[in-house]
Amino acid sequence: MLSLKNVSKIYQNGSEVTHALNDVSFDIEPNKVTVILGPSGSGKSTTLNILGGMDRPTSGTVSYNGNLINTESDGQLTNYRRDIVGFVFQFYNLISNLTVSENVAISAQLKGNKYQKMTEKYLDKVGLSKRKNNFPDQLSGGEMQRVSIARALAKSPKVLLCDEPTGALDTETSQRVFKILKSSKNQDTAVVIVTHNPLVAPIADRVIHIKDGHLDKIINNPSPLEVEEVDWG
Amino acid sequence: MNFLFKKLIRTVFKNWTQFFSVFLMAFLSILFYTGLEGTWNGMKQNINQYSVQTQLATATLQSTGISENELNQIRKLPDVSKVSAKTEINTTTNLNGSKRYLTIDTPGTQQLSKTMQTNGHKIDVNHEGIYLNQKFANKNGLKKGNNITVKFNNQLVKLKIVGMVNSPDKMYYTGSNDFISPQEQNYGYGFVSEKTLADQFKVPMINNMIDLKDSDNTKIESQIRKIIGNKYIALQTQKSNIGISTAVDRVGQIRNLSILFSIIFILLAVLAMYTTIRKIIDQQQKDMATLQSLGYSNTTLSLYYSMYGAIVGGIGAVAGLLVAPVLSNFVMESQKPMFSLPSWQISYTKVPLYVAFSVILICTISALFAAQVNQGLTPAQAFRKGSIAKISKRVSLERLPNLWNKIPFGNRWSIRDNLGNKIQMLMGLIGVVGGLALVMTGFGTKNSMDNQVNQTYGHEYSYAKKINLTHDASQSEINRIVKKTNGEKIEVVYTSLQPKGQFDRPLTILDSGSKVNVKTTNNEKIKDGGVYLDEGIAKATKVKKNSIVTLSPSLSDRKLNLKVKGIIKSNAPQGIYMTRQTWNNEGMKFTPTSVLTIHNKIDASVKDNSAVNQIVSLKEQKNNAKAMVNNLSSIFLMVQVFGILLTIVILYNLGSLSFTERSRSYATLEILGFSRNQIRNLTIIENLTITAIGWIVGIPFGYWFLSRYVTTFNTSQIIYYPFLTKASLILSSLIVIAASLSTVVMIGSRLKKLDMISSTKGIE
Ligand SMILES: Nc1ncnc2c1ncn2[C@@H]1O[C@H](COP(=O)(O)OP(=O)(O)O)[C@@H](O)[C@H]1O
Ligand SMILES: [Mg+2]
Repeated sequence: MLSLKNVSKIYQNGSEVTHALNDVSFDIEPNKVTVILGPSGSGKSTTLNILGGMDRPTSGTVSYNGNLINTESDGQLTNYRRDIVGFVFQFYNLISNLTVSENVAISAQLKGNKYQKMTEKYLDKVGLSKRKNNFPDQLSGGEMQRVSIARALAKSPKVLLCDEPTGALDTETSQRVFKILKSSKNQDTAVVIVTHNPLVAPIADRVIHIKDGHLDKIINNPSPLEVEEVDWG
Repeated sequence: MNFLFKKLIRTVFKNWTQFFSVFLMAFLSILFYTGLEGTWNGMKQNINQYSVQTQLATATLQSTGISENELNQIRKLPDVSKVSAKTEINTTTNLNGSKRYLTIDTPGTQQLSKTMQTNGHKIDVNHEGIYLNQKFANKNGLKKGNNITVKFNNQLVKLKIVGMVNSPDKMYYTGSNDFISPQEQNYGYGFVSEKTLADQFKVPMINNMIDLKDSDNTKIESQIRKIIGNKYIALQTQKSNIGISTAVDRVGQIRNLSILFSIIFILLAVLAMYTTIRKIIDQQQKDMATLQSLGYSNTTLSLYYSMYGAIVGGIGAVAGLLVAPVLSNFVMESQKPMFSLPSWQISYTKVPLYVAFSVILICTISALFAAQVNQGLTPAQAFRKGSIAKISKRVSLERLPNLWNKIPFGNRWSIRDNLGNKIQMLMGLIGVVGGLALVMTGFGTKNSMDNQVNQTYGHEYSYAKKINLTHDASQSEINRIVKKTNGEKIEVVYTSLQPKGQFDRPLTILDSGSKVNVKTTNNEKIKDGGVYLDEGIAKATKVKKNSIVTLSPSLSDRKLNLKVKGIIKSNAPQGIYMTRQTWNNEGMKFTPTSVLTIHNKIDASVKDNSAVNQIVSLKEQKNNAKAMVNNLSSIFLMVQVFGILLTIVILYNLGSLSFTERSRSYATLEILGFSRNQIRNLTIIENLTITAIGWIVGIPFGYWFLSRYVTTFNTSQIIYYPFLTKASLILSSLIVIAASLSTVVMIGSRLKKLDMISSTKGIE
């Protein structure tokens, strides 16, 4: 349903040209957890940013349900981000002056959802109902990341994009985050997790390997493991 | 320190807009102070030098003429050290088809108030012909060697122009008490030898103008009055002679201006420096923590950050010193048409260097203070602090949940962000309030002065023509003129005022009628049975309503003890008033000096009447007064421009500071799907709120500032009352609102360039 076709991304800083992505094509399916795996600097974030309408490809197309997204139009990208995408960052990016529940509500409201209900629902899901009146700076890293997931989910996104969501968290907290992410896939929602950590691969329905800006391989996993079943080392 | 220095330079360049405002304030404060000092100190030096070189008289005695014997008595007074006796006559001449007024003096001893030829040579006291004052000659196209024919006592006298002169007691020359600014083409003065006066004008030396050098003006005044009795008209001192005092007062006016404005800019420089460094340090928490962990001490780091203040403040101060002469010359140039000085050299004292040094020091110290935030923190604490940009707090508005819950989340965020940043908000308010006050003052000073002119010439003086009478006009002639013009008589004499009167002031005696229509502070008209003082005089002499004062009018040896019946609030040249009835009751004779009429057309029989000395129209007086206001308009313009600049710079700076700080939040909002317009609207609302609050505070503050500011233009002749037209008020408000909203444009364009990806990356 969400697909990249022949996407390339070239960064040009003066005379310095970086081919961050080269002719990458793949689809993202609902009700599946897709992990994009690759070493640092291989182009994972670039891919995710293009998927999420945060960045424009140098060439190639992004389409959703067969409709081409005009990545040249600011307005279309804004609408796309607002209606289709939920984002989770490595460093949470909560808005410091809004409380936990306000942080969640702001995105739900934007989408036109019944934000109070959604906020309660997803704060409950990530287990933070009790902290809803706290400000982000009063939370731990894992808690902040869970708020950020609740914020992304409260929009009922078609695709949940997570860039190294556990990059700043310890193993135990990470597991909790992965569990929430894994349980977030459904008929309507695809989950995409970007990581450099190969240990995450077994929990995914699909693993897209990226190397030096190229699509290396796509591996389908008919029987993904539960988070607890993975040996986190 | 080498790498730190590199970092410093890069930080300054990267945040140049923020530092630019610090630079600008430091620059402006020094520019203003030094630039204006160049003018006022230059003028002061030139005036001093001129006074010393020409031995400017400390007082000039005006009388109806005194004998050699009386002159000797004056010479022998213990407080008088030098005397130079002159005879002065008033003549007219016809140039280019118009009547001109030419006052002619004998040169005196040339030991006091020496007249200088424009080529710097002394004048020859025995020379045939006339020395003419330079500006009068220039404006009328007269040259050395030309002839001029003057009319005196119905005789025509032809004189050869033998040279051009300037007289030091006429640095500012209006030629007539009816005018407040120079009229060089219509009024001139000249010098002829005593022999020429006797031979051609048939006038002997009557010694009606005596230049004196004395050590105590008040003392000699009463002594001289005793000697010459009712021949006494006035003793003009350097303070009361507007030919001198206007120039000296102008020095003070410009100096007050320079001090007032540099203080404002220095204060703003401090605020700008403090907030900027504070922001830079907030942004660089991680860097500071890293440097700390590498082994730099907190003190070293604080000193390091204070260097920002030294460097940016220093560059601003030096630039200000360098550009100052341009401003000095610009303002000096604007003064040239009003004054006659032999030299217009700008000149500086050492004070600008001290001021510059203080500005640098103040910037450094405010940076040092701003850099104290990390004092006493361990690197670990500093790191933690760096990763949490700011502690969030609830605001008091949240205690009203009904209201608070209606506010959209985006605005909640911006409200909390603002209230959590009190210094920044305060800066914004100061920017709006200060800018508004300055713009209001720029418009208001001009309004106040225009108002002074309009009030005086039109309301307080409601005649059309003022017919000045000669000293020896007979009662019957005067009555004929009054009848012909349906006029109203007034008498203006000089009078000393005790206690503490300092110098002789004009006393106006009003007959029936209301063409001089001044009112007291309680809005009452002038009534019989007491004397009225203008507010400026009352303040200077510390006289209150109902106190008793003693007047010694000219041309009389009487002393009048009178109760002060009221204080006059008047824009007209400062004076003393009473009714004819009061004057008569004191046993004084009413001798009109002018007839006021509302008719513009004056009958030829009146014009040619020998009792008429001169006819002045209110329109001329008004235009003349306006010329004085216009002479200052470049200064008003400067105040306005700086006001606008100030508002833009401060608000722009704040907008840009908070943008940097918020870029992460803005980017996050954008990723969540907020459109740029929605985000920009948040900042517009914010901006409008601050502007609105600033406006509410700024209007009264602006009025207050204006009222303080116009008083710096007060002279012993004229005091100004604050006045702002509705149009100016609206225009000032619009300018400030526009300036404040212009920063929204900047935010819009920066939002466009905002890179969502790099702004939301890990905190670096
Ligand atoms: N704004 C940019 N300018 C230039 N090069 C960039 C920029 N962003 C990323 N790159 C380069 O593109 C490549 C891919 O980056 P990225 O997608 O962030 O990698 P990953 O997320 O896999 O670590 C890297 O070589 C990186 O240096
Ligand atoms: Mg990455």
